[in-house]
Amino acid sequence: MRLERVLGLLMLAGTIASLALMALGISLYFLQHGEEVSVSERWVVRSRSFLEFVASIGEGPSLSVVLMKAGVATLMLTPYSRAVISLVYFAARREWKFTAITGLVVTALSALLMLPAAPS
Amino acid sequence: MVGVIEVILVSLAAGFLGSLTGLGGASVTIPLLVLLGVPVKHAIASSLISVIATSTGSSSSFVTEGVTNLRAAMFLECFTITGAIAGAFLTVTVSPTAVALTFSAVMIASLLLTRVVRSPQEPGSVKQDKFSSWLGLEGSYFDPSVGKEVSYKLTNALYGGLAMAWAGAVAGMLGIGAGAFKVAIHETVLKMPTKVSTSTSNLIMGMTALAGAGVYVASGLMVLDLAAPMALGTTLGSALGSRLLTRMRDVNLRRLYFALAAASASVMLYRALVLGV
Repeated sequence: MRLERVLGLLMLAGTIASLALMALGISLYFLQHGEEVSVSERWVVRSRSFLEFVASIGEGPSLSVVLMKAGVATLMLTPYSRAVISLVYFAARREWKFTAITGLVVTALSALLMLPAAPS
Repeated sequence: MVGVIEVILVSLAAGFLGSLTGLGGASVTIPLLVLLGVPVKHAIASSLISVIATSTGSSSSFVTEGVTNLRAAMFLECFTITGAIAGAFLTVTVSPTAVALTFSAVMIASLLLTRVVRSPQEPGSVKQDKFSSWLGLEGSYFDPSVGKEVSYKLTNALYGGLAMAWAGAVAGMLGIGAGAFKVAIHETVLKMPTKVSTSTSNLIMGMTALAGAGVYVASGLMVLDLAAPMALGTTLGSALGSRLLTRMRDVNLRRLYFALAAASASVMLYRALVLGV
């Protein structure tokens, strides 16, 4: 399968899955907490990294939060997966210049998303 | 504070208008939410999730059809993600007033950008520089309007990359896609054909927004019950807008672009200078 087709399908699937999760989360939120958006501790993401955020998905504290977190995480993982798949593709085709360029992007993003931020 | 339905409706309208004009949904959503009382830094951080959603959603078909130049995108993303990380760190560090003033200045700059006369170059007539040639930055796509395959070469890759780092910084700092800047750089510096430029810029926006969002997730500025309805509303709105785009007259779209960019700049300026954000 062509790289373009694989990436096109990945992005479409990632967008649909994440929006579906967020829509479910918002519906439940509406039922459980009412209409008001609150920029409070309960809803602000308090993770030191994206990896920590993903690890906290199952912790709740409610199903609506779990679904919204899962939707945001799925969406953020979609472009990241695109970079990883491109890296594998370029390496398999021995296109070393683009393997190096894509490797740089994947390394920078991995460090950003996985390494915890220093406490402020 | 605003309600969930309000956020969805505001984002839907902003996504629709942003997609029609090319200004982008986030450039309209953020000032509207700030006007409704959402803290500017929270609005910016949460908005990047909707930028990822609209970028991945709208890019999928262009990527599948082969219009997007994946190699050029990957090369330019090295620069945009660096800029986005730096820009997002800047927003975390500086005062909300400074962020709002920068937002206003960038909206005014995007107004001026449309005044820059671009002289479209024939895709086949571009002379590549050595670095772009070494990278092999070229491609082809089928253009239904002329009924044939169009081949093109890109040039000035290094300068284009450096300019894209600046566009990435704007995107990361202000929570927007900065598509107007990216497309201008693609076409004026890299000499990218318009269709390739628009679709490649769309793809780059998602990766750039991811880098900015990575910083905001770790800095306590991302708000879940704001990010999720914003992403949902903006994506649906921009999907509707892109369907209507071909039926609108260019002159009306241009007027709308000016009105929206001027309104966004004014709102942020008012919040920063009069209300102190």
